[in-house]
Amino acid sequence: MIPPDLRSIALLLIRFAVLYAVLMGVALRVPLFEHFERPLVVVVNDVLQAVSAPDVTRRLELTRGPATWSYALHLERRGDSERQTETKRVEKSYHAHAYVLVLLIALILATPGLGWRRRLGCLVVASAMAFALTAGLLLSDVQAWEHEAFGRKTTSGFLWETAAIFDAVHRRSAAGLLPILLWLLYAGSLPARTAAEARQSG
Amino acid sequence: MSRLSKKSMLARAVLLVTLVVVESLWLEDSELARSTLEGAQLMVARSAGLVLSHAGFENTVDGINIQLANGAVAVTEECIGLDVSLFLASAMFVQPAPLRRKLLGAVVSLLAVTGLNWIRVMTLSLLLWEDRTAFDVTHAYVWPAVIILACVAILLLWMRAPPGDAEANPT
Repeated sequence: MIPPDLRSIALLLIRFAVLYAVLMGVALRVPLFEHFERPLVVVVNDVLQAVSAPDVTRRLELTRGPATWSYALHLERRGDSERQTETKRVEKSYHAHAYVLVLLIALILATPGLGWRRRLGCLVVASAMAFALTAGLLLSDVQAWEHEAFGRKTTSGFLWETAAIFDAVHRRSAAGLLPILLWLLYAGSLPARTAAEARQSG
Repeated sequence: MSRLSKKSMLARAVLLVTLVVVESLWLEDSELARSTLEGAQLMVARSAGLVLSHAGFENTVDGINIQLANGAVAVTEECIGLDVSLFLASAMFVQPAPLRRKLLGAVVSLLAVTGLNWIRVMTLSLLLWEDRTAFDVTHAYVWPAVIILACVAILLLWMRAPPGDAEANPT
């Protein structure tokens, strides 16, 4: 069973491998991963401010140490009296969340048969979706750090239940693989769709 | 793209995301998944250690850890590739294809991803023996991309492979 377009698949794979190597080289040099984390932390911090109850303070920052970047999470749970107030500070090494984006960009650029307009549109949409995904992943990290710091489950509500789903996805390869599979779902049907569109317009 | 094909594409994407989330939660919480993964981890560690010994690389295997002269390689759950195989099979399941073809694709995915991960454990062990820096770079940046590349290849080959006789001429 030899597929008819084995050559185009091989071309995609070679292009993907080369683009991935180039993008990773650039990402490590720039350094893209750290720069990507900054707006991500700002967005997640804004979400934390919006959803936290009045008696809870959560503040997430990205700090630069001598060797590497790290997340600093400031937590405060106020009780009825000052004695009941719990304050914690958690520091964790930063995670290269933008790795998902590098993989996705390499794959979109490597996919043959896309016009530049469609490719550009795909890159914009994919980047926005990857940002939303990674924001969810970071939020799930915050939840895990908070539980670890207080030694108990301290979060509840729809957002945090959703964050728990992101946590399961984060622990598995799904966070990296899902965007790729979704792209392949779209790209894999491109030749068939292009032919169908040509028939419709003809 | 017609409205119908756009809708069906969206439905498939939603189904795929749902399946991947459910599988991730199942892998996280299920006792069956945990015991399967533990058994597989021990088997991979033992077999890799055995092959390395035969190839002249002295090692001791303690549970999931392959202890080498320069350090230890831990065969974690991610090293098995059960999650990747499941997600790949889900991507096949949401496509319009006969069940037999989907099952064949799922089996091939499982074998290919498991085999590739075994090779990954072996190469990482050998790299740890030779050069710690090369091990770190390969572990963090090279092997994840190779696994993704393999998934892309498997899925595209499966999607674009011509239908078999039974599929082309259903009776």
